[in-house]
Amino acid sequence: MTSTGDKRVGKVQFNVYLPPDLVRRIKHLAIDKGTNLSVLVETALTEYMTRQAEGEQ
Amino acid sequence: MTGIVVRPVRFTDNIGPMRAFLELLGLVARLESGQGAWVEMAAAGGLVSLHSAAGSDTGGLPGQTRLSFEADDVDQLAAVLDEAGTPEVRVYDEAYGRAVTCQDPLGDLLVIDEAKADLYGYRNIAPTEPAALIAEPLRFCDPGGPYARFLRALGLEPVRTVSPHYVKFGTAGGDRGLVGLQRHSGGHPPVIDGPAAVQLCFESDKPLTELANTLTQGGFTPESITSESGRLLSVIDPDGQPVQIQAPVPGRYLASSSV
Repeated sequence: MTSTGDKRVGKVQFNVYLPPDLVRRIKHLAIDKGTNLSVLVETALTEYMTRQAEGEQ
Repeated sequence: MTGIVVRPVRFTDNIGPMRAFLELLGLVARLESGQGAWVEMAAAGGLVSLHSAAGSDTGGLPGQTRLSFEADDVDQLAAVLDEAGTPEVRVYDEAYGRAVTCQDPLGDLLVIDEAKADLYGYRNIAPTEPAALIAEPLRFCDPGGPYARFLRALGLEPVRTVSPHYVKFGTAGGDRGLVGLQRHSGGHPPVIDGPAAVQLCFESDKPLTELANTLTQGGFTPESITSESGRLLSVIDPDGQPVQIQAPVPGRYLASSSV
């Protein structure tokens, strides 16, 4: 990778199996929000993990 | 056969002016994103995409053009690339669709997008017939080296040897675009450095004098040059980058005008 500014640097690929309709809705939401899919999924998972951790306290 | 179309991507802060410039050459817009950060332009052979540099997740710089392609099926293409021993082949999802990336023989990351099946967030533009023009991004490297084998794995065969330093690769008919491999001598190649950097180049069926007049009337200053590939026009585009338009060649590739 010769480019600086590549937002994928330092990230890893994470493959999971999801229902096709959920994938479609997540992709459409990313487009509506003007963000990329990785950022959207990262945000959603981080928020979920935070809520889970808070629920355990 | 990998069902691939040559589709270089220009990162730009001037999508409107770049679109108008390419329309002067004869390309037609066929798809744009709702937010206008992506415009796909069709030639009779191949495509050119305009991508907002400000919205680039991969560090695209204004004026930088990267070699890229559109494929019918990225899973099938990934299998073909794996079979050919191409490093770092990965299929992934993006909001706009699916893509496969790999490392090209120059060590750069190459992105190949799957043809969009879901146009959510995009606008299909009423198709008009593009001019008889073929997109031919120029990658500056040895045309006899490993890049030639890589292009063959992608389904592009050598269709014209201009000289020992310059070979054009494409499919029969040229209606999926061409990739020119050219060994550059003397100074820095006319590209902004970055992954898979290419110079925008076209082959036009239109007489170059006519095209030069069109460009001049559009406010550009085309320069007529004679090179080893014959007569060509060189013109500075709205991003300040040199674009080549080559004259028709004997033994035309363009058998049909469909993309």
